[in-house]
Amino acid sequence: MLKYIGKRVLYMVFVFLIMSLVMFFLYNLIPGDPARAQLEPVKTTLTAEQYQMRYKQLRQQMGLDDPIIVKYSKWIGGILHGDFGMSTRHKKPVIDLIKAPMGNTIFINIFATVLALGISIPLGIICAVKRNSIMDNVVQVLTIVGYSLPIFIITLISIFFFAVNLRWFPVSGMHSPNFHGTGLVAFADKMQHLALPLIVMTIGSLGGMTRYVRAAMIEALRMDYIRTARAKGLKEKVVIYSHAWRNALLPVITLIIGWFISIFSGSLVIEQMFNLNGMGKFYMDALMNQDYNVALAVQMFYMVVALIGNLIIDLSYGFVDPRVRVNR
Amino acid sequence: MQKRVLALLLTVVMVFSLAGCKGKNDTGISTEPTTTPADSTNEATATPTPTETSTEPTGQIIIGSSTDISGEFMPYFQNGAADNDIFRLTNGYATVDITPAGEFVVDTTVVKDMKTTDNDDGSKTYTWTINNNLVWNDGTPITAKDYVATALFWSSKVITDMGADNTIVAKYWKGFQDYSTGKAKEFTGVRLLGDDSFSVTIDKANLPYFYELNMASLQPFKLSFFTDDTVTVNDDGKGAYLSDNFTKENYEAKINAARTKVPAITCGPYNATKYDSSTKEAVLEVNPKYLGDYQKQTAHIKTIVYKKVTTETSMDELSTGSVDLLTGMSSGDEINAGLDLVDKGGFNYTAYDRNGYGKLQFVCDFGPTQFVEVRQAVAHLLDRNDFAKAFTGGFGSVVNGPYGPAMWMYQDVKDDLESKLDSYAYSLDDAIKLLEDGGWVYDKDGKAYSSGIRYKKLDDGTYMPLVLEWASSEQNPVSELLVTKLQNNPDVAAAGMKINQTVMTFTELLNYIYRDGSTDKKYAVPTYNMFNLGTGFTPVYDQASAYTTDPEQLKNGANTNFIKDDKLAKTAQDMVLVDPADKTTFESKFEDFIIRWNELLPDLPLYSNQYHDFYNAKLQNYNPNGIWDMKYAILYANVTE
Repeated sequence: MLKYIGKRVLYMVFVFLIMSLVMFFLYNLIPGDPARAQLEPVKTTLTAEQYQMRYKQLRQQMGLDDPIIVKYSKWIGGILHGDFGMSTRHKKPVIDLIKAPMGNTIFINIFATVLALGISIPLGIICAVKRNSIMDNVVQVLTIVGYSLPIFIITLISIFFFAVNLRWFPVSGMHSPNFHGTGLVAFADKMQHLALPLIVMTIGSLGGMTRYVRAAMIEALRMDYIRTARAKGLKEKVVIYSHAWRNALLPVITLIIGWFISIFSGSLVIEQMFNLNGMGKFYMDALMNQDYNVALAVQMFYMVVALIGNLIIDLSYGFVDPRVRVNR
Repeated sequence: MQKRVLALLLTVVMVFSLAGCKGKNDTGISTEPTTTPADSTNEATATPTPTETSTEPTGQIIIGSSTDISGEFMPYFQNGAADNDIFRLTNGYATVDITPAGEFVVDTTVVKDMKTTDNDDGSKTYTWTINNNLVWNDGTPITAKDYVATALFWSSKVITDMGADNTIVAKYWKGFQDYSTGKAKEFTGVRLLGDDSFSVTIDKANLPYFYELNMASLQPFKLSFFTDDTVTVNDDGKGAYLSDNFTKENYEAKINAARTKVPAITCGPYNATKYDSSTKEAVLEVNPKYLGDYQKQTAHIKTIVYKKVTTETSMDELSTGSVDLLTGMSSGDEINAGLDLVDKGGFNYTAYDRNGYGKLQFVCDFGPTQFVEVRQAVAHLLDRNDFAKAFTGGFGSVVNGPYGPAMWMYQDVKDDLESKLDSYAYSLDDAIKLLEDGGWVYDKDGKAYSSGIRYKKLDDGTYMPLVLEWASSEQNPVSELLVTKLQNNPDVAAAGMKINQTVMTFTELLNYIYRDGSTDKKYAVPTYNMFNLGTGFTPVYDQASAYTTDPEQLKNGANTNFIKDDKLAKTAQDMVLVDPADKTTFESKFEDFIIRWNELLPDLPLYSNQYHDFYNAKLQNYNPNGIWDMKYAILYANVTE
């Protein structure tokens, strides 16, 4: 097992290096001159000579005149030492800028993922067991509606009803303005602000997940071993949760790990509408402002998360289904 | 009994009458339903009366900002609108302040004495003596060294090497070039003359200048907060300088840390006491040590919370009490939603004219728009009053030149100026006449024009079609309205003109405007004849660079209309090359410039919005305008809980 993990880690390092090279070259192909962009606001105040001098100085500072391979070596060397470069927009190290949005996104998404899984897995199982019942049909209709509605619409409707009309929740933000409490009080205030985005995120993901779990369970319940288990006189609960669910879990696991990866990425719409300082908005802002050091760093982080996620998926298969061997 | 009822009625009438007496601007009150657009704000620039200062500051106001708050409130490294607001609220004591009318005045709260000297070399020296009762928010005294430190630190090569813009403070002063590039140790244009005295010398190349008072202004800066006590400000007679230990190697980390450190050592009306990077919220508390602005006005609101809001839900935030003040609302939808809120009660608003406008910018050195008749014909083919009404929802107006209705000089010469300006009223006949006069009288075969697209015979014998290439940014409501009101207007075709639209990102549009070939060679090739975008004016109304014919400045992309008209360039230059005291000459030259501009029409102004600030009724005496916005007006406001 350890040998397998070691092999996979080596493979991950190789993939990371190849992908980093590709990504770096791709970003460098994007037309644009960061030095000129930085001088844009002051160009009318400078003489042509001053402008050229500053331009050259900036290009030198930013290493823009280096050959591409030298630029890559410097960049990847920096990354391996934890230096992701400077944000051209904020003129600060990327690593310092990324901490706050990353923390927020992880905090919010852990809750959203737990909530969504906690609801959709039991609901999917019940619907599969009571297939074609009234409840199953109702859930099917609701999940299709939930699945089809854009998250933007769900967000606006939720804000209108729960925040503006009923005033149960604040419209946006992560805590009350100028909040001074600590400990449990602070946590309660934060959760009151995050309740609505969490509800929206959960609703947004319930449809797809519930239908996926239901389909996997129906498939499992059709198997011969289920009939055999029932014929042996096992309790229905044991048949469903021990035999059927365990076998249905295998395809569901891929989906769950996919969600794990999304814990780090955040949702642009939710963050934008609820004013949450998260990774989705952070990444989008970086791209919109052509802050490519930031965008590239985020991209590389997602790549690492995806590689780790894939390793966890493969290892999980082995744990869930002994027939899958992961030690080769 | 009847007398009592009568007395009560009279009292009620009196109270309502007083409430109805609006401030300098159009301030809505919740008891007075408003369904029509608020009146224009001609009185918006009147000097505010300082509010009573004997009471202790009280209350809290939450300001909703649609731009991100980065936590870096000094404007030299990066400068967002919200960060800049907070910079203004937390920093102060500049030697020169600004009035609501946009005029620069010596701040006598700060300045004890000011002398000017015309030097033999053509430069001009301002010698400032400051009062000795000014202190930082940590209680330490503010001295002349703190003023000189601003110029030395923020013009230094060290901070440029760190990525900051070092041209903000002192670029017009003598010796700036050598000091800012590290060639000279001393900054010859800045002198430390004593504990309470310093001087700045404006280079002769920048004189005379109507706004030179503002050019000579400085505000203090706590050098040791960004470095340490070992970095000193010195002057041996050749100019002020910082001690040799001020290097990037020694202080980069300290400076970077200080950039976002809260609380900081500042001296403005407010102290930034908290910044939450995870929620991008800033909290400001009143600075009890602040002595006031140029009118000795100090803050009456104890706490200001700056909070990010999104456009889609900002009115909901106001209605639910999550924010108390939203500034600069400009779209018809937002304003109507705000006015509905005011009608319901508990909320007020102040309306004021924007100091700028949305425009169609013409490129004047190639294609059909290089000919003034074509630009004027386009103006006649667009009903701008109708356009402005449709776009702003009735909350805006049309201007006929590069000015904002709130500008003091415009206010002074308004009647005379408007009588001399062409408003380019909607007229197909006038458009056709202009085109015919301009030589657009041929068809594609060179025969007399009868129908279709007009052509003009050029000097080289070729024929140019009257086809205008228009670049517009994506998801832009102005562009969408222009398609309806201009591009698809049947009269445009009837005039023999065709307009082709190309939609692109705003960044790409800017690249085409600046002809920035370094990004991509295609941008350097003139491709589009017109662009739609917005523009705004600062209190320093200097258009000399914008319409320059100087080849060097043109090479840097200063004149984005690429209009090379010597008279326009000269009127733009002449306007600011005026003694600061000679307001009458400035106004006269302002008129000359506007009239020439209106004739040449390098841009076609489309609409000038009327901004609305909506707020909770607890905010009182709040009177911003297009120049003197929230960050100034909040000092004169108070909160009644």
